[in-house]
Amino acid sequence: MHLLIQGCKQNDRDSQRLLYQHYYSYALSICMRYSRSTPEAKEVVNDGFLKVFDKIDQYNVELPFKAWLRKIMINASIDQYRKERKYAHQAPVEQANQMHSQPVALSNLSHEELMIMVQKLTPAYRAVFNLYVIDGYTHSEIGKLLNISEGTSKSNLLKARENLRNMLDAMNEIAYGKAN
Amino acid sequence: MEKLTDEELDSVFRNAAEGNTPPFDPAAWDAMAQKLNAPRPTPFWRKWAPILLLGTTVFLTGVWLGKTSNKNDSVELIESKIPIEKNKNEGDTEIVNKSESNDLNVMPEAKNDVHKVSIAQVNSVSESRIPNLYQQEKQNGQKVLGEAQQEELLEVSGLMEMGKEVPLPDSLTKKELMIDSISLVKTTVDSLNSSREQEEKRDGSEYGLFVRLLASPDLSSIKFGPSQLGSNFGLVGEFAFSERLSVSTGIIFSRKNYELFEKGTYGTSSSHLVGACKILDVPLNLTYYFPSRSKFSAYITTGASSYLMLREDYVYTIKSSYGDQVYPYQAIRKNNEWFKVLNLAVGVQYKLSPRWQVQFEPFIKAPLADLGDRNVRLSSIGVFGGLRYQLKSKL
Repeated sequence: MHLLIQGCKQNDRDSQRLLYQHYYSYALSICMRYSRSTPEAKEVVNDGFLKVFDKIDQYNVELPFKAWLRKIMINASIDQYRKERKYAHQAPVEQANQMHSQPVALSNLSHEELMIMVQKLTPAYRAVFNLYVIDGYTHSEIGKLLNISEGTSKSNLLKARENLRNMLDAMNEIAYGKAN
Repeated sequence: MEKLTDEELDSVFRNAAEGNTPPFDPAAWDAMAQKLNAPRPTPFWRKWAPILLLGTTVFLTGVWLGKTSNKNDSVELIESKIPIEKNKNEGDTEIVNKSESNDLNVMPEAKNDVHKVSIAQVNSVSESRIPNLYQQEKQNGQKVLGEAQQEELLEVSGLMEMGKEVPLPDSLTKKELMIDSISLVKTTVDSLNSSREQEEKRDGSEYGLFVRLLASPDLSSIKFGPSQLGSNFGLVGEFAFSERLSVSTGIIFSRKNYELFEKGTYGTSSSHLVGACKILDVPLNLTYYFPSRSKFSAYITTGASSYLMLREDYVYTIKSSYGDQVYPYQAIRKNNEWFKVLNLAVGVQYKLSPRWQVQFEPFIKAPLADLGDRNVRLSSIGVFGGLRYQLKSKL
């Protein structure tokens, strides 16, 4: 790993490719949670890696690379969220009911299906839910990051949880309905 | 199914997030390599750098030219010690000291040391000025020099006029004669200064109130993206509070049209924004007029504008994996952006008559913050053509 990072610092394309391949899945798993679709998430991953390669000199080798990468990917996702909010706050974002629900019980839901549910949240709810529940940010930090008040962050979290519960209920109803 | 508690729900999704490992996409590196090979977008400040550099160069050149012009017009006083002959009696020095204490408005350089006599270096004095000044001295009832001394003084003054440093002859350094010669030099200095002031006032940079009628094409863009032609029409009031500086404000009715394309790496989530805005631009600017002796003069303007958004029409299109989504949007008198735009302009003006000037002014309007309902960083360039009329000189 140390050699790969040294190579990236020297702008060596092979080192960059190996580092990219090694961490691609991890980076994509983060960005998918913040994005509304996989293609968009892939785009954000590449934006994030561009920052990684540009700022690799700033990376402190004594700290775990994965944590540094995670932070960059979250920031890249938040940048994408800001861009989305800037130009498309008129977009119809209440898409919870548009989900193509599968008749599957909660215990049988795959990780991927659960992440698709998160993707179906509105951008604002999705960002707050991910930052608070999965990435461990506080409401105060979220407020600063997303340029919203702490109260709005708490409110968005409540609504995000509510939407997710509704999606799970809808799936269960369908599952039980089909079973009966 | 029982409702999940917040903790249970969080735990379900946290585990899912940690366990989710999407497979590697072999095509992903190609897109990444393409991104790494692509030219990086130039930082915003660097795009403006050539224009700012040009403006600064024009400004500094103007200041330098102004200083050079002032130097040529002014009288440079050079001190030179004239050795006082040892055989002069001490009484002479005392008399000079006494005369000095009478405060005859002798130049400070001369006052500081009685052993020094001011020597003037005069570059552009009309030939007839020295005798006239000399006669003026007579009329004022000041000390009259003898004929021989008059000739000597005129000769010295003539040499001064040619720009030479001339030590005053002994005959002119004695007692009251020295005072006379100093007074003469001072009068010459005063005369030159007043002549320069008069000339400056003739070059069109007077104090007073002006109005300017402006019109220009407008090219507005976001991040130097594509732009469509718009227009500006305005009426601006200007108050010149010194010979070189003025403040101005007014109203410019502006139509700005622009577009923004943002294409994703995968080409699946590109977006397109088309905007058309009617804006009342309220500038508050400071202008510096460079000194000039011809009818042409240059000036530089900086300041800030407030945009009162009269009407904003947008069409936003998102191309995504869900298909194209089009969002038209309109905002009427919804946003006022106070002092969020930086104005920079360098202009030239030509004096048509004592009151009328025609102006030609390339400008940049750079955003200092997000503007309008779409929060866009809208910058504009154009060239104002204008007429400037002097309402009132001297308040």
